[in-house]
Amino acid sequence: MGLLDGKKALITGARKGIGRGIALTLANEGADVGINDIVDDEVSQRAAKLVTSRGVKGTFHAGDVSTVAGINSVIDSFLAEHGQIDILVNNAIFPDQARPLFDTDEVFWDRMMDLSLKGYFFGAQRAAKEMIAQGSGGRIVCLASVHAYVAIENWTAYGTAKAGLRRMVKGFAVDLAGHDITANCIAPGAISNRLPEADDDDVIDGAPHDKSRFIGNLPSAKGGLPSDIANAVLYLTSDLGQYVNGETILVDGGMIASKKMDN
Amino acid sequence: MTTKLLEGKKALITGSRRGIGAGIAKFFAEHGADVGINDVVRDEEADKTIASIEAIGQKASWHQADIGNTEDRKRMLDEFVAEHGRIDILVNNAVASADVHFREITEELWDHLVGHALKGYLFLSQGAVNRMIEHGHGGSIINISSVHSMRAWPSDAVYGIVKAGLNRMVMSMAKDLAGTGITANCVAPGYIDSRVLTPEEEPERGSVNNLGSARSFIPSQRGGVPKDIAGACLFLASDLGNYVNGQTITVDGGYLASGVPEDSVPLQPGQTGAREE
Repeated sequence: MGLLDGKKALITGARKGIGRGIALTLANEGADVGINDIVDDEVSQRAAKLVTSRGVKGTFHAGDVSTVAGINSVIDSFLAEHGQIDILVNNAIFPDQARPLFDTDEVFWDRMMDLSLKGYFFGAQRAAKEMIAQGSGGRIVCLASVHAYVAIENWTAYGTAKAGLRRMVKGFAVDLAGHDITANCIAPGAISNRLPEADDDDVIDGAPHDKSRFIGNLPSAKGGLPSDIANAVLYLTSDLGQYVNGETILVDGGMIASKKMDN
Repeated sequence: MTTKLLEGKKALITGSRRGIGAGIAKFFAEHGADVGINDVVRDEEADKTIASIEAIGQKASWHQADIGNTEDRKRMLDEFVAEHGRIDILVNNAVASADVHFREITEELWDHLVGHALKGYLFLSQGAVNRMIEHGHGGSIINISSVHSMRAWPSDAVYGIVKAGLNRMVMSMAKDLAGTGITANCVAPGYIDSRVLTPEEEPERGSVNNLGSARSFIPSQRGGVPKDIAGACLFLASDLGNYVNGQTITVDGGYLASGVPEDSVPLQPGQTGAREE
C-alpha cells in the first residue's frame, strides 16, 4: 500500500530535476502521474516511462504553462487521460533565474511573472475548479524558494515572484474553505538538479552539489536533493499533511534559520 | 513504497499520557518505533496508552518525570537509554499552559512556565543530543510549539513567549549541531481536539460541531486531531523530512493564513463584502 494509491497528480516542469523527483516519488506511492514540460524530447518521454515502470499510469503533456491557454490545454490533456485531478504541483521554471537589477528589463520581468506567478495562479484556479466539480477534495502545492525569504544579489525578480506564492496559497486556503482542498508551498534551498547517470537513471537523485564553502556551512552540512523536496510534497499531498493549509515549508537544511552562509 | 517510516527507531515523547502526546506515540509505534511514555502521573489514561502501543507490537517504556526538574530530566534519559539502548527521536510535548492577563502575570507563574516549557525543553534536548552524538547516528528533536508563538490572543502572553522561544531555539540547535546528523524543528498546532472521548464519541473528534465561532475562520473547516500533529512529527522524524532543519511547521488547517478577525460576522455563501447598514 502506498500513501497515494489511486490519486491522479499533475506535475508541471517535471522533465528533470525536482519536478522529475516529485513525479517518481508520487508514483512510488501509488499515484498516476502526468508530467508536463515545455520541452518534449527523449528526456521528457523517459521521465513518463519511468513513472509507468512503477506500475502506475504515466503520461506526458507538452505545453507552456505561462499562459492561461497553455495551462488549460495541459489540464484538458491530463483530464482526457486520467479522468480527474487530485493533486497539482506547480513546479515549472525556466533556467537562469538570476539577473542583475539593472539588466532586469521588462521582457525578463514579464517572463518571470508570467510563469511563476500568473501561471501558478491560473493553474491552481483551474485545478481547484475541477476538484470542486469532482467533489472529492484535492491538494495544490507550489514550489516557492528560500529567495522568498531573503535577498541574495541578483535574485530580486525571482524572489518577488516566489514571495507572492507564499501569500497566494493563503488566499487559496481561505477562498476554497469547505471543499477539502489544501494549498501550500514548499520552499527549497540549494537543491542539485543534475539528472542521474544514464546507467542507473531509474533512481530519483543525481549527484549532489559539490561541497562548496556555501553548502558546507549550512546547518545540515550538505546540499539538498530532488528527493528531499519530493518527500515534502508527499507529506503535503498524503493524509499525513491534510491539516496543513496556507503554509510554506522550508526544505533548506537550515539555511534560512541561520545567518552566516559564507566564510 | 512507504509502509513503516520509523522501523527500529527509539523515540521519547514527553507529556504522552494522553492527548496529542499519546497520539504521537501511537502513530510512531504504528510506523515501527519503540517509544517512551512520560508524564508527571501514571493513571488509567497512561495505562491505556501503554497497552495500545504494546497491542501494536512495539515496546513502550514508562517514565514518570517532571520536565521542569533537573534530576527528573537526567533520570528519565538514563532510564530510556538503559531500556532501549539509545535515543533517536525526542518529541518535547509536555504542556504547561496558562490563561492569565498581562497585568496579572506573577513571578511564580513566569518561573513555572518558563522553567517547564522553555528551560525544561532546552535541557532535555541538550541531554538527548549529547546521547545521540555519543551514539553517532544522528537523530531528530521536535518541539511542539503553537500558533500562539506567532500571534497574540487575549491573556496568552507567557504561553506565547515561551512557544516563540521554542521556534527560535531550534534555529540555534540546527546551527550548533551542524555535521552531527541531528535535525531540530518545531510543529506549531492550531486548534486541536484532544479531549478524552469514549469510543462511541470518537467519530465526533475534530468535527465542525465542536469548533464554535472558530469554524468560520479555519479554512479546513474542521478542528485538528492528534493524528494531524503526529503526521507532521512523523514527517520530521523520518527520512522524509531529513533536509528540514531549524524550521517551524504550522499545522492549523489554515487558521493563521486567514486574516479575518474573530469578532467580525463571517460572510455567508453568496454574500459579498459590502454590507448594508
